[in-house]
Amino acid sequence: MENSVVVGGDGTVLITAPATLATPARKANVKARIECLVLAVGAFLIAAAYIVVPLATALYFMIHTFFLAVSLGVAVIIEVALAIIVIVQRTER
Amino acid sequence: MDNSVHLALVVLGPIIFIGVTFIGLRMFSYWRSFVFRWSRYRPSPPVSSADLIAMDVPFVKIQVTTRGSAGSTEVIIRGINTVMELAKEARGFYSSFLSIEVVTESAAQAWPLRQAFKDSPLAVDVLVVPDDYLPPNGTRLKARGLHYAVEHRRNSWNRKPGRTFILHYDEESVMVPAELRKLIACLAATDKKILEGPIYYPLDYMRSSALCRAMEANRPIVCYECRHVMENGTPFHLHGSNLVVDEELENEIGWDIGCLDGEPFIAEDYVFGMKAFSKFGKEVFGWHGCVMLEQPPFSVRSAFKQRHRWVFGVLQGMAAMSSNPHFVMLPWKTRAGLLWGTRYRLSTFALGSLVGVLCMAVMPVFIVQSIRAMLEGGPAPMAGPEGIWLSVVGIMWIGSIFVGAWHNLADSDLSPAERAAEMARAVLLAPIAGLIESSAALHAVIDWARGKRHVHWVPTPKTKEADLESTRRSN
Repeated sequence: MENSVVVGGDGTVLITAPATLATPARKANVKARIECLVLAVGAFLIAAAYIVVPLATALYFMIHTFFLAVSLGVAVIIEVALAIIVIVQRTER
Repeated sequence: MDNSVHLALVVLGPIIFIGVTFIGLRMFSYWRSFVFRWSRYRPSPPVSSADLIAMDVPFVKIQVTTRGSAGSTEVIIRGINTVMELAKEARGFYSSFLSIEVVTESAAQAWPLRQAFKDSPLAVDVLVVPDDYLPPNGTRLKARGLHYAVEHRRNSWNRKPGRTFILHYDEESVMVPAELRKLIACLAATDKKILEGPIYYPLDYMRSSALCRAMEANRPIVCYECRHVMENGTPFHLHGSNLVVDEELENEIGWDIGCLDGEPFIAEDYVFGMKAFSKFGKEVFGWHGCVMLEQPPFSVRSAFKQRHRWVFGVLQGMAAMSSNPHFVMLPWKTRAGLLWGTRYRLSTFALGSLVGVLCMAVMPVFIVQSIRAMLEGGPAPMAGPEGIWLSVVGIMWIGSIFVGAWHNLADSDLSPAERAAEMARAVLLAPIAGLIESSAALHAVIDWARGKRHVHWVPTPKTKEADLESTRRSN
């Protein structure tokens, strides 16, 4: 693992050297991952309510196949999210 | 039961659709800039100190204007320390054109600031605004301090022998050295006189409440549209920090913006932008694209008051501009475009609360009916092109939270898992956070419509402790 450079809360540039994780740190890491997973599921449900459902319903009444309509709805979300990530990354520097 | 639900959908559905469309068209304006003009958003390539030494750089004064309230000294020192980090790269070079001025209303704040930077590579001047100082037009609040500095500059205070720019900071503003170098390079080449750049909110991020963090995620996407309006020269929302103004122009316009019905202005930046536009036209406006970092409010109460203040201040500014002699001389179409453009922005912000509440009320029924229609057949609400439009608005809304959270977190010191969790949390809380901030806007509009004109300048507390103290006092 390499050292990483981050901007700290006080605005100063910090160089953080990764250390071997001790047990409490490992627990915190696992907890953070579980929290991340739960929040990601919640965020996906919000996105599903406001994006996938209206889109899939509209598509369903055009193509009359439930599975295809929902798959297309989810695919559109993923495509749009990836396109947004590409643009955001290009405007980061 | 089914009949009443059906009736509710029949009545509320079209109202929600019209409201969502009204707000969606506003979102479309910043998404257009994001999708099609992103390359103009951050135009400057990385610049080194050696590159700058080879350029004919202008003088740059960083001005921090503060009321000097509790907690502000610490965050001002944090911002200036980052400028000093840049100055240490080439002390002689940077000290030849870069300086820092703090304009404070607190005499007690002057001493710690002078002490903190007495041996620093750059000059730090502290100007204390006397309690009894009153500009000719009776300007008060933050503009009073800003005009005090202008009057000093008109009398040759810190005068520099060449083109000079003033970079305005809020108390908590931070610009990292890489962005400051890019900004200086941009100013060396520009012929514009009023420039702005994006602001993100990563500082003290995790000390702020989760709802405030979700609210701040709404803001960075608007910077893409800010780029568009600054390049087009229509100052719908000039913000007072990360604002760069040519000193000559600032001295000419000044900040003595007076009062409205005896009450001071709380959006002095908006009034300044409109005055500059009325007097000098759109050619003076530009976009530098260098990022400034700030911090979210610590509590929902502070965030609510902050949003209320923005909207109320813009309503004040619009009322004042309608009687400004330079503004009334502008062509009718230009005036109408500016005023109605601003009214449209404010109304979409305020309307968000009503549309949000209705959406939350109808959403469970809408989802159940839609899924049932797809699985069992039968009619579904919004099953035609209107469903596609609703999902497009949904993409723009949730996408703006996603983009904002990404930018706010890019400079924070969180692990990838924590960062992903934060982005998901912002999306998860978006309906509630959006409702709170648009309620603040609606509250401000209602206050204005009811004839309320009284205002206070209570800056958003800059430390958690100051925020708690402020809440305790108001209780």
